[in-house]
Amino acid sequence: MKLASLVGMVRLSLARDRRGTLSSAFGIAVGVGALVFFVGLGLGVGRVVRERVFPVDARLVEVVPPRVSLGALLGGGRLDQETVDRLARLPGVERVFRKMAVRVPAVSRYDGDFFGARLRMGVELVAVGVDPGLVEGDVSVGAFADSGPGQPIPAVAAHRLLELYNKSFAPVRKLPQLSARMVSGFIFPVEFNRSYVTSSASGPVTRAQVQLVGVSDRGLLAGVTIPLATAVRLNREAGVEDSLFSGATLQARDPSEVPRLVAAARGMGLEVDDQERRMAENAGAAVALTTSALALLSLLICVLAAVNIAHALSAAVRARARDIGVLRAVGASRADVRSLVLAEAGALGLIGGAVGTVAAVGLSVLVDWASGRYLPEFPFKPDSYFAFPVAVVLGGVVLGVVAAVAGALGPARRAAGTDPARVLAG
Amino acid sequence: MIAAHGIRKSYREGNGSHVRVLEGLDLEVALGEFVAVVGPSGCGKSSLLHILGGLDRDFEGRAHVAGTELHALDDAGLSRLRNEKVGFVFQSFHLLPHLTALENVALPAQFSPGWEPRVQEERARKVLQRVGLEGKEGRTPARLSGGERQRVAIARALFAQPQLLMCDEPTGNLDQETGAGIIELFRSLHRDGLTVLVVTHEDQMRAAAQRVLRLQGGRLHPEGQS
Repeated sequence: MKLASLVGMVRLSLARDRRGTLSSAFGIAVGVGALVFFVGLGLGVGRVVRERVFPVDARLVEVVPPRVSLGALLGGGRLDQETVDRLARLPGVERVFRKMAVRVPAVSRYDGDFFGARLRMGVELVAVGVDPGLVEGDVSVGAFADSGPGQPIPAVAAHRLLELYNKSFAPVRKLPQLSARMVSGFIFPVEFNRSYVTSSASGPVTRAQVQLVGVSDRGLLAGVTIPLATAVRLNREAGVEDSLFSGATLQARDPSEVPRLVAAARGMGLEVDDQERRMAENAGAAVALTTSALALLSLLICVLAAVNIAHALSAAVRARARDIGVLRAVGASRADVRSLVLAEAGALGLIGGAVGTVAAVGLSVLVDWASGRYLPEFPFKPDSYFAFPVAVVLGGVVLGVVAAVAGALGPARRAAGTDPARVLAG
Repeated sequence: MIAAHGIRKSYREGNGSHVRVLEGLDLEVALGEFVAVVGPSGCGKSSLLHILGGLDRDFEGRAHVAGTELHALDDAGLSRLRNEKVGFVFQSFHLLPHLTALENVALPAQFSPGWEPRVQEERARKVLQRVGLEGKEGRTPARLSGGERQRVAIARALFAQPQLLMCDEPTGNLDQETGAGIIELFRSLHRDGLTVLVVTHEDQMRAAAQRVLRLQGGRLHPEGQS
């Protein structure tokens, strides 16, 4: 049977029973629509978690000295330059970025114009120095290098800190919303050897200025990231430890090398700070689990729709037995009859799948619009909660066809087995 | 055109017993012949037609139709035979209700390669014109009279230019006047060279046939003999 003939006969057959066609296609549309909607929601929320809430680079491993260590007595645990060199020589390591916390307390007291608003506040400031290579790709103003005493200290802030400021702090304090471009170049004062929370500060207070030179996903979340040389200098000037590193970031050549690097670092008596990665994984797993449960429910709807189609087509095959006999009399083979029933189901699935997918995408646009219009701002609030890769969209349509055709297998077999001599007699 | 020998056919009844309707039946129909088969209801006339038309494969004996041994054909082969060489006309017309007259007539083209849409339509219009239904191509069966429906059914049977027309009580559902028109149409088709095998009760149809055979006791006998 020619494809054009098959299409033409299916079109006529579906047009013959519009109500039945709509009913069968509706079931498929509901199932496919729900599936596409929930999978799109899961992928969208997962993307927000992965890219904005926990932007974990799959190639990076955070190595820190052990919290409790017998140190050099057992030949491990210290994170000095020699240990860093050993880490750099590990197979699979592309680069090592050293980190050193500024080990003297610091505060920032700001009193003045803040992007057009009046701001008066003081905060405890945490700073960590890093090898410039870790963040220099995100620097947009000047250079990320130690500029020496008396000069503003270049610093990078975290994207997430900016997000928390914009969505939580700024609205409450009626401060302006800031973008990465706006804050780059901003200068604020800092006082070292001063603290609001600890009495351990000692020595004279020294004043400096910090200039934000960029915003990065690799920046310290609750503080500022400064050049390593500056951190070493500040520690040295304050007379505190300035040769041991507080951490090192290993950049693997490939994400698949990461487990081996983790094991090697632990073998050297060091610890791996994978809290961020674990939180990302846990959040991702929670999203995936919820999505899977909803997708499973949607699949169940598709199965029910397929059963509905099976019943509807079975009834149609019984009701049209004489018509099938006529087709056989004018030259239709059993295979032709089987193809006709399956093609009719496929068309129902195609219609239902396409309508369901379009409805799901339409509903997602509505949800995003309603979120933007009615939900208050909150940190990491996305512009869209959904992601619809081509595979999901096409998969929805294909699922509709597969479910419908699967439901039609039995009726198609029965239709093909119709005895024309019996149904045409009399 | 038809050579059937030793045809036997039986049906299983509800209680499991077998009822034999054809008992070693022999039939030969020459090319271009017009043969009528008569007999009481339930004697197996329709069964014979279904067997010879390739609709029923469950029989014993040997049957050649249009030069082909039916038992040698598989389902696809029998379907091709029905599509290209045999045209059926039924008592109840058996038109598809959701199709127009033109679409009903062109139905055989849907199961045969080589029929371009334009050619299909031209051919369907031509056969509808041949059976006297010019101008009614777009009507569905519900908007046609009984006689017109049967003419559409005949046009459908003629669509693929078959060698053999098999008719099962073609005037059984028509009034006498309308039936007479249909019989005249068969006469005309026969004059054009078509081989016609018709199962009938109608005296007029008997009169139109060149040869009348009576099916009795599962076998065919020339009319007047038993």
